[in-house]
Amino acid sequence: MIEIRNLHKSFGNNRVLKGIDLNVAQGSVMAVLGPSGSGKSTLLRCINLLEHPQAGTLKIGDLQIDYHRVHKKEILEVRKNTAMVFQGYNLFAHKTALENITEGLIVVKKMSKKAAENEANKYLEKVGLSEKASHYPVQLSGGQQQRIAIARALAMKPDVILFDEPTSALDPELVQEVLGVMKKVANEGITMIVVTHEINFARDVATDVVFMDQGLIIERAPANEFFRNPREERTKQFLLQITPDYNYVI
Amino acid sequence: MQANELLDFGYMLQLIPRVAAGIPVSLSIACVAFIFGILLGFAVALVKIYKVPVALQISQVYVSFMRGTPLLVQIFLSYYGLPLVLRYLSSIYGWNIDISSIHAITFMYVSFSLNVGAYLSETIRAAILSVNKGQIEAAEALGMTTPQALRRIIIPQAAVVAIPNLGNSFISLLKDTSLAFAASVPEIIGHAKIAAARSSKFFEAYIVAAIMYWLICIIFERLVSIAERRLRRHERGVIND
Amino acid sequence: MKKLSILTISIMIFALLFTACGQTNSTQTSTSTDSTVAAGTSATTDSSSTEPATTNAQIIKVGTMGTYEPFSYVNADNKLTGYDIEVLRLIEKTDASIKFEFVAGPWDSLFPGLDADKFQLLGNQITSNPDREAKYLLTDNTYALCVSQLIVKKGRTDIKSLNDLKGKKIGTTVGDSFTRILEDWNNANGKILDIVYYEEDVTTLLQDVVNGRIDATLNDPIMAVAKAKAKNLEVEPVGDRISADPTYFIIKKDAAGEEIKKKVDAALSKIREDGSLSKLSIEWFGVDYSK
Repeated sequence: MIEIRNLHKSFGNNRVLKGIDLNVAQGSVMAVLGPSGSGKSTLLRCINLLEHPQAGTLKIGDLQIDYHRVHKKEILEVRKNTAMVFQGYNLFAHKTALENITEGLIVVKKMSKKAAENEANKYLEKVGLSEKASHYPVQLSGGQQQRIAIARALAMKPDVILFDEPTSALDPELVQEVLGVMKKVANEGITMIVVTHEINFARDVATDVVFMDQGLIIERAPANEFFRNPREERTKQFLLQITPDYNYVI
Repeated sequence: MQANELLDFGYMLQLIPRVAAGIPVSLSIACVAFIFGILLGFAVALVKIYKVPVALQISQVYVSFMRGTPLLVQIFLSYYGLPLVLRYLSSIYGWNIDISSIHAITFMYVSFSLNVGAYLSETIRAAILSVNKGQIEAAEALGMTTPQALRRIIIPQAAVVAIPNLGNSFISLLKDTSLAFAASVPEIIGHAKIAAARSSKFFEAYIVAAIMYWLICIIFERLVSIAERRLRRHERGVIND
Repeated sequence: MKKLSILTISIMIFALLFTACGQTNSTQTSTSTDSTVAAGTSATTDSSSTEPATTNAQIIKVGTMGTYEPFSYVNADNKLTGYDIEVLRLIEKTDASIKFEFVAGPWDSLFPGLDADKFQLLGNQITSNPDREAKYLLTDNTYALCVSQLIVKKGRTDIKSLNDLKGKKIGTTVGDSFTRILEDWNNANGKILDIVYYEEDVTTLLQDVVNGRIDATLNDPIMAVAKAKAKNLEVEPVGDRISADPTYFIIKKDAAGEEIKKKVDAALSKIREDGSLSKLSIEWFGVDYSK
């Protein structure tokens, strides 16, 4: 349901994305792997136009965007149909956990406060944090904040949720609780694109995997194929680096 | 020399109600100017942040002039200079504008608003820019428009950052209102001067005025402090694991 | 040693700065020493006890506005002059032991300046009132009559007296004698006047009379006419004289002040008796205001 064609993005003279073509099927969980600086996060942020690419086209569901001439209205449309979970959680500091979730529902989806709160409570329960509803982010651990961020994203009922290294900023003990929620989300059939360093998560939960390096997609395959039978040399090198005990069958 | 040879304390007590008559004027100028100053400062801050063409250049000149010239000069130029300019223009174009119908205090509201707005624009601009970029990105990713993000996410957080500085500016402004007497608007120090000129007891009159300013400022300092504490409500709390 | 050289340098700079005043006066004093030796013997014997040994004339600093035509102002040649200034210069001629140095400043700085010894004498058409008499020394002799009249925009016919000002605005400068007259009249007449207080000099007041911010002001008609001419303002005095108060020189109330008062009073009596004060008044006003 997502089609990206010929995506180019530079920051000044620095070319970060050098022509990306990518299809993401509905309901799939796509893991995006790669070394730092490969452009993974930038790719994600181009999808919901937090970054503006220089060239390329994007198709989300029925929406067609030409990055050369994007209107404000189109940007808002895309963002209404997508949601993002950030590495730094980015919960609204001055709002409670519950209010963080209702914020988008009230302001963007124009729901009434009551209806929004009902919805929000459901999602809070889903991520297992009902008792923290009236806590402020500063009173919560990193893992709890990220789970609420996921609830905030889920509540918007987006076509796709974009995860930008969701566990990279977490203490190791807290990573699992977040991955657990993400697995739950995946099992419900929601389209997910996850930029991550968590190889095991990618191996267990992802349906497809993309490997990027220096602004280009090196390899893209269904998950089990990717891990058992990587084709590119670069991919193999990368996998070896991050999982020293990795063995694969040629 | 005894204390009551240095200062006529009885006279000072007599002066208190007379000088206090200026308090409503001082307060009204300060409050009106501050409110309009915040609106103006906010507009200028946004213009500078989003680099709106034409408005940006105008804002830069406005802020530079207001902060770069003495307030007394600004009051003088506007209150006494404007009628002269109008008189000159009337003689050329045959206009018949009656400057006398505009109250002196209106001039004060305008002069002080323009002046404090320039200073506040920098405070507000800094406060807005201090809000974590991630907050804004999260708001945008949800699908909020810029005005929505400003109103619901940025301003509430910027306000907390800005409060100490804003409070400072207001207290400063309260004292600046003492210049209004240059335009014949009798606020606290004006009343003190009128009384002192008649009795020649300048020392006593100025001390009474100073104490009055001090008391008012102390009250406002407390109010600002309370406001700050309430706004920082969401920052209290310990991270629990 | 260093302190002494700094002191001498400052005195030299100070002296240089005041040569403008000093030059015009020095010629007068030198020509008049002969004529004053006989007349001023009483003055010189009085002052010998208070004169500093090193100077041959006591320098008295005079606080004055310098913006109050025609009594104290700076003329087109950048020279400080005016009736009050010339009376003081006449006094200098009469008493060789006195030399005046004029210091111009805004009205509200004059009395505080006297208190703080920035000047020793004030000469600015100042009248007497109970508060001033209690706090300061006034010369026994007067030197002019301060007349006050209502000043309005040229061509106005609706204001002829203070009573006509009911519901209208009258402007006045904080602390001057006209303000006192207005306040006293107002308190005695049911407070019908709407008094607007100004800090600035009388030019601003007159400008506001012209532009309509205030309907009238109370001041010396001679001054008003002189200012109107000088600054091109359409104002004119109307109605009867509201007051005619003698003016005095104001001196600080202390021992040094008493000495200055004695000298100035002696000189004043002299120029009244010999007619030179009347002559000066007629020269400046066309009328003898010194009586």
